[in-house]
Amino acid sequence: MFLEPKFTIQQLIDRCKTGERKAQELLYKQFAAKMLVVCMRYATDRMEAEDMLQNGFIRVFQKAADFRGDGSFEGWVRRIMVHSSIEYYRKHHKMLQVVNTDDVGNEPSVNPLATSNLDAQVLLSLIQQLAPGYRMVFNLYALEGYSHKEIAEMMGISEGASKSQLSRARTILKEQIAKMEGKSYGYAG
Amino acid sequence: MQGNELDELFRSSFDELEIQPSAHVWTGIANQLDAGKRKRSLMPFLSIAAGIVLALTIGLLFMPKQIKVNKQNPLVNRIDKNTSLLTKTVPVVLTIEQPNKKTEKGVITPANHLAAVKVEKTNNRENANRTKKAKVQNEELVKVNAEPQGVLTSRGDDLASAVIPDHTGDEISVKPAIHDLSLLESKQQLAALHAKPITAPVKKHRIRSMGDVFNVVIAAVDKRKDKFIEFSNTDEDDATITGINLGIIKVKKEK
Repeated sequence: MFLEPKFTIQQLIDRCKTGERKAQELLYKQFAAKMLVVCMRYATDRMEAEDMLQNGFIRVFQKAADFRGDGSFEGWVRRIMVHSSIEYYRKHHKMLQVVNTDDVGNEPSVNPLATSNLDAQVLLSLIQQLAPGYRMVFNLYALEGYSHKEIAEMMGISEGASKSQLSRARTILKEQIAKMEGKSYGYAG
Repeated sequence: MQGNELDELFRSSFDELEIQPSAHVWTGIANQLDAGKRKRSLMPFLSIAAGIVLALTIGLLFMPKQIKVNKQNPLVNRIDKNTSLLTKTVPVVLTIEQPNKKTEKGVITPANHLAAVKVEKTNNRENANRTKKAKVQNEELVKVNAEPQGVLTSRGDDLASAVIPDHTGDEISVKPAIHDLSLLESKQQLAALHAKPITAPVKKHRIRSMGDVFNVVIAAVDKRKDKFIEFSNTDEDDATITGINLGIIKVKKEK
């Protein structure tokens, strides 16, 4: 893949390993927009997500020399973003707030972006509205593909808690989607 | 909708989604990377500076205390003086006299039973050998002088005897000047002298001055041949720095 006529990703990575600022900036521009979406999924709002993104990229450049090229670079960056997000979550939401399903589900937030077709932005906002604990587990299990055991270790919770939080998160999301679909049909009809 | 379907719905919708971050995110990253670099490059200099400050602080804290102790305990001072006097006067006077003059000047002062000196005669009359031997023995004697503690140890023992070769027959007379032992009249001092070799001899490096104390402490931390900082180990009160090793910069005063 060519970013600019001259550089491939691999060349940029190699130059990043020496700490070259221009290469770092080009690499950042290549992945930032995609990685911000990853962070947004873990964050309550965009500001939090950008903090996570910033911390994540600093670590990417500090650890660039450790990247051995075993997997894809994008996958490696994404894992760092996820860990940066978990760390941020731990710092700012130390206690896993297990919120009762009823409390969360009762007031469907009116989403300005809600349209008949559930686009990615809407789904993103649905995840962001989840209680932090549910959001973390749903992201890690459903979207990142970690096992409950891994999640339990990363989050410092029990496997059982991880499972129950995933199931509650799914229930809430389904309800929200159903409500929004109903609304949009209602407006349409 | 099944759980897996729901997961898939989210996963697939986010695959293509991209959101451009604000410009300040990159400036924040660049600034923090710069800050990290500056910190790292300053670290070695800061640690060296901290080490020097620490060494100086320890020096300032401990120096005056030693002088104070000596003032409060004059006996310690006195014994120190005597021992140093001893070590200085123990040297044997080596004189080369007229070829045919026969002298026997091995002086033995057994009065205080502290030490006896055997005078050994050598009957070698060959001139060539004589001058050589004289030189060698002269060097040996100098060595003895250079290790005053060793001499002291043997002196402390009533039965100890020093063997000093005499070349009286070879026009060389050796005069062991042990009159100074009379300094040790008082029993207290004698006891002190006895005590000293008992407590000290086990250690390889004797601690005689503050400089030695520092050297021992630094040696415990710094295993290199040239230590981070070395102090003189003379009997003088002030510890002067004889060597510094900062890795790149090495300064050492030759002994």
